[in-house]
Amino acid sequence: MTTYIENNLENIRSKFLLMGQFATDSLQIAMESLLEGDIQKAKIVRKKDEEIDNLENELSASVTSHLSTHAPVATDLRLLVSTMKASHEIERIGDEAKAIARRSKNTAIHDFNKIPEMGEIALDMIRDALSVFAEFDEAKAKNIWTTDLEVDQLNSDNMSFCQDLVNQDPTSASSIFEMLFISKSLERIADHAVNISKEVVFMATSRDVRHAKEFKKSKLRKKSLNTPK
Amino acid sequence: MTDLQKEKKKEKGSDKIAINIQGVDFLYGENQVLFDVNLDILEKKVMAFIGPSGCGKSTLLRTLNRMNDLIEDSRISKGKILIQGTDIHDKSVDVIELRKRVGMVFQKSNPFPKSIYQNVAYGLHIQGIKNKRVVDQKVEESLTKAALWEEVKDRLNENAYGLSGGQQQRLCIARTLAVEPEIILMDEPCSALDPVATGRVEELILQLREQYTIVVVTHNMQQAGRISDETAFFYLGKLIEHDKTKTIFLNPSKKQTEDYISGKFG
Repeated sequence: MTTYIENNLENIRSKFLLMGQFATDSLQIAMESLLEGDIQKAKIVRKKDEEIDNLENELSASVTSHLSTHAPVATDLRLLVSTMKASHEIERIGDEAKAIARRSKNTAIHDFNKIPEMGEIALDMIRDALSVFAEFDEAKAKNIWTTDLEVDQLNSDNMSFCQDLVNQDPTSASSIFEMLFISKSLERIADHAVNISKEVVFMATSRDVRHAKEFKKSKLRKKSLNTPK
Repeated sequence: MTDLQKEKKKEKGSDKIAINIQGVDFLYGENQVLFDVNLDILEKKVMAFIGPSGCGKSTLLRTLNRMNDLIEDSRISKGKILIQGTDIHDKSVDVIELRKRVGMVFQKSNPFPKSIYQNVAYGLHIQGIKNKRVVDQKVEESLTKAALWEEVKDRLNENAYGLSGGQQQRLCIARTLAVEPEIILMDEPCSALDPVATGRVEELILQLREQYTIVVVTHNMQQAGRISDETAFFYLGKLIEHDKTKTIFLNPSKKQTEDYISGKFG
């Protein structure tokens, strides 16, 4: 028989995963909206974002109520603290997806360079972060941190690409800037996925790896350069 | 320096052992209640003993100043307890002197049916201190350390029973402090107090740990988390886990500990 406390915690866990699912859907639809030029899809993303925001509020209220009435410790405490923080990362992913959908209306560019690839990778990173939350797998979490380096590189490629486009055709600058912002949004989404997975490491092991030197981007970059492909 | 760094530095700085418990088995008649308990209690730190009723935590606490000697046919059948290198259960140890060094505060406040002043001065008189000025000074010092002086300084000659429950408990702490112990044992010191009085006693414990080694038995998990530096979890007479309190409450290594502190026991 599950206890009241276990039910409560399960409910919070489920809410978080549902938020994550909504954020994944949101990004997927935002990318379709951008790449297919489908304005209707942008509206769906806006609606999804509202649902994510509502779920975040519900989740915060459930966590606060559980903290104040049950004074949880150990695994339960870590679950609550990490889920609350990770839910904020999900909410930010929702916002970035909404921004991508909004900007998709304003860009008249047909060559998105590395953006489709970034979108695919960012989606996989969110899915992996959620899967690590549902079932902890440290190797999978660490893989998200190294994948983030690829997204950074693609973002950097996009910047050079856009710079060239502006040089070639300064009249398209505003469209090109939209594309730059979209690239930046995807780069931020990847960062949020990394943050979620780091919260999950704390949740599962009590190790706080958020600012651990060995997992800083510069270290990981150096390590990945030294690793034979 | 950040708070975290300061805390780490403080943790590194003090690890002198005040009490060294070595492989202790304890029996009441034929009934064994402690099994091979090994534990070091650090100087000028607060150690909390936690565990379900009947797990042996109060028995262990009482072995630390031989209060169990008062119970017939109770004994340590194996192991020893060292305080500053001396086996305190050795026949040569003066029990009165030991209890002066290792004071005790009980679950229910137990002031003597005397005035506030006499309650604190009692131990000093037993020690043969007669000089009134010295006694007056000690009484004031002890009541001040117990955070009670301001509340009682104008009515020292009133009966201690006139004090509230929380004040009576702090008076008992002052009475313990008056004989200048090194170690203070507290057996559920707040279990009979309301939240305000509990808060004051907890605040006091946090102040006293600068000068004394304190061992507290408590059923209140949040209290253990708030006031102790280290926590030991007992179950069925065995020490299951002992670690820094932060570790015990954030990431205990044993499932039994986790289940107990999370209220999922049984």
